[in-house]
Amino acid sequence: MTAVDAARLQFALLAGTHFLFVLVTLGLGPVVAILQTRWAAARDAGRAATLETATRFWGQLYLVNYALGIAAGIVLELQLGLHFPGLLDVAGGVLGAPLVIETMAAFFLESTFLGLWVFGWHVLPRWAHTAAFWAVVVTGYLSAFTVMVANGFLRNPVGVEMVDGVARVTDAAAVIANPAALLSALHVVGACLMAGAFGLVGVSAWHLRRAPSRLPGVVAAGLPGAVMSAENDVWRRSMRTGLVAGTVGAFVATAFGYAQFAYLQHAPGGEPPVVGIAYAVMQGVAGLAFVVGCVLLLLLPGNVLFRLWRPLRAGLYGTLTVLLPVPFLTALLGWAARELGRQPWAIAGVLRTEDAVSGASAAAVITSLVVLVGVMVTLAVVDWSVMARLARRGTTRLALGAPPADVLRDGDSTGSVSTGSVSTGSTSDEGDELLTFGGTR
Amino acid sequence: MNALGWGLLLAALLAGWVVLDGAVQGGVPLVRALGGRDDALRRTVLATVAPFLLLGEVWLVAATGVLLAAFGHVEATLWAAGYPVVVALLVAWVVRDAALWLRSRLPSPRWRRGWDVAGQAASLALPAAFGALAGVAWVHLSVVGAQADGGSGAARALALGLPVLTAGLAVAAARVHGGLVVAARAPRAVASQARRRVRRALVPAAALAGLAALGALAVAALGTASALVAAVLLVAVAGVALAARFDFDRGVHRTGVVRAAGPLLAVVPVAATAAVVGPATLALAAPAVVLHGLTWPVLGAFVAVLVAQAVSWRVLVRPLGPRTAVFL
Ligand code: HDD
Ligand code: HEM
Ligand code: HEM
Repeated sequence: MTAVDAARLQFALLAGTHFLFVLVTLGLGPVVAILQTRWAAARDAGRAATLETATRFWGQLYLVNYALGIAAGIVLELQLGLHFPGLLDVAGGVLGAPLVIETMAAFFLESTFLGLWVFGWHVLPRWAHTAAFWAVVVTGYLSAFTVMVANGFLRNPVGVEMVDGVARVTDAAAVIANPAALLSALHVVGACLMAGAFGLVGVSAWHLRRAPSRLPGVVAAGLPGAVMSAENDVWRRSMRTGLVAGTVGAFVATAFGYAQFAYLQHAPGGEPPVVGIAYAVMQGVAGLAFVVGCVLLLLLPGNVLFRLWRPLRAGLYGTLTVLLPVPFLTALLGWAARELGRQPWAIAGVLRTEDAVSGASAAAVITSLVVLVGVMVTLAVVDWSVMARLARRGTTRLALGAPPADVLRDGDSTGSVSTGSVSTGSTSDEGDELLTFGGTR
Repeated sequence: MNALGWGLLLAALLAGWVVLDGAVQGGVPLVRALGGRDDALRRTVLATVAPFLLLGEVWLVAATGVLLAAFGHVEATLWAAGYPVVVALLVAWVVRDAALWLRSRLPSPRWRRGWDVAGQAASLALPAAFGALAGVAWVHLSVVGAQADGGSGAARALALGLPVLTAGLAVAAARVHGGLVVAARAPRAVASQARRRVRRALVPAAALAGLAALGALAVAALGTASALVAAVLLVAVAGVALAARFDFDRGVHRTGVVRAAGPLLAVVPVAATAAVVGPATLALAAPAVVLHGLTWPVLGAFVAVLVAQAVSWRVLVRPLGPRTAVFL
């Protein structure tokens, strides 16, 4: 493997890993924000409790995902300087602007507001706390757009003139309104909404499918007159929200997917086989998701969906759970089509990939490939398995938004960690002091 | 904004990072020591530094953005010279974050203790890698690098020694700073244990700062005059560390010197680095058109960020209490 191949492979694997987290961040973000807004606005105590639980459950998954999403993004950011300095030499003036705005403005604010949301849970007034999360969502989308501006420039370099081999911006508006940035960003929004929605639907279906074994039959069947269990209410709401978000997402992805073909006809780049496969898969997935989404939406009024004939319902729920990874794999294919379709160019028609890489030796690049990709992929897999465990655990023992005393005691409640048995008297007093002052919110 | 303005912004962002994230880097290694086998106590220690995590690490992300946009050639030079150090920094950062976010998500004690060990190791490696990278910058963005390549024995010794020295200094500084933050926010018994550890770290920190000052003098002697500023700053901070130790030994810890020792120990290495590498860095800045075009968006963003962070600090940084959100 040459240094160029190793650098490309390393970038592709790390970007792919990063994007899997991004899909959830951008897809689940608006959902959590809407759930929290409805919770903040709810008058009825039962409804508020359901929405609060839903906000905390999905918010916690959002956070566990976000933590590694940031880490993966940081690794990716340093890749450009580490391996593709040629890109910065030629287009530093173009790429620098969106990337510095992204880090200085969007990410900075996003993380700040997220910190405020998580750690200010019991301090901020309800409306300010809700606003903090909306700020996270807005800045997150802003940051995603700025990255797409940078990446769109590589795919379709417009708005610049070349002076001595260096790109100089002549028309900043054209760089921003580049169809490869704008249309692709909206296409990505569709993909993200779908990914978040498949998560909502898949997890909710898993819980609803198991409901009969945990609840009296009448209740589980949701027959008229039966009181719904609080937890089932959370899963039904999440399922409904997910169906709406997923159908909208499929529509948006389709609309802006076809819209991209117009500019792509003139874009330089090859047509490796993966491109054709990816287009076919994307169209198939979007089409099916849209049609099935519409059908299921039609079953929502009167809760028909939740009262289907038991075996049919169980089969449907099981299928919906199994399909959870589909939009994620589809999105990776989409990126592969975009980035491989651009080859052999790093900046289409301007800079060849092999001229953009650094002088680092093949051995050094391969070593960092093994180390960075190994660490990142391992952590990603661990993170996803934690998310799966949390998703299955459901709404019991949520740490996010719980009173501190409950959170600190959660280890003890499993009986696995013994407080005070080993520590000295004075420290366990301190522990008790802490454990007792955490009252209710 | 000209190159100097961008350079100052970069230094300010790095200083913000070492102060805010430094609290986490120094606090996390105390989790196992102060928490013992009591998980609730460990999480109490974690809760003292938790708000600094999300609000702190973005400062380094922003700094790399500025480095990329305004000083792309500096970045290329540094990454080429310090390739393994950059990779180590990334790994340490990622593992530290994963350890903090994931450790409390599952109840198994083995899971939690395992992540605590990983978090402690990564929290030591992170300032070490950052400090070493600063040392690499001292070497390659001053006269030392060229002279070492030219075969000068003194320059070659500096090129090897400086990164080790600055790495050690960054680790010691984080210990002091993070320990003081834990001491300020934790319940009383935990706080006094944290202070005991700070006291022990102060003399090594002062010694390393003194050695780094000697290194800066040597760099100045080889021809980079601005390194003299670094030497003065480092000597001063060594003095502050010793004065803080003196106060501890007298049994007082509420003095201004003690309170300032942490942030100063964290910031001075960054300021010293800025002094050493400043002239070479400014000479490598991006063309003026690029810098000018970006000025208003970036300054506007910086102001917005400062406001948002100031509000967050007011809300989040208070002693632990029933309204503290515990998540890590
Ligand atoms: C700012 C720029 C930028 C952005 C936002 C992305 N990429 Fe990219 N990508 C590059 C800049 C780039 C690059 C550095 O320019 C590469 C390396 C070599 C090349 O030609 O393009 C590249 C290569 C590359 C390849 C391999 C193509 C090849 O080298 O044969 C894949 C599969 C991806 N990327 C995937 C992604 C994914 C999944 C992204 C979403 C997060 C993504 N890229 C965003
Ligand atoms: C070369 C490509 C990319 C680089 C260098 C990059 C860089 C980064 C960095 C440094 C972070 C962490 C910021 C922080 O500390 O808060 C991050 C997070 C994030 N990135 Fe990227 N990114 C890239 C591609 C993308 C793309 C294509 C999107 C979306 C379309 C995206 C969306 C996000 C979002 C939403 C976050 C917030 C955290 C998360 O999603 O988990 N990024 N990225
Ligand atoms: C009818 C449906 C769809 C069509 C026509 C379509 C078409 C396209 C096209 C033309 C590209 C650009 C490739 C390039 O730049 O070379 C693309 C990229 C992409 N697609 Fe799709 N797509 C569809 C559905 C989907 C779905 C369902 C997903 C994921 C859930 C998805 C995810 C992506 C992603 C992540 C990219 C890369 C970013 C971008 O260029 O926007 N697409 N798609």
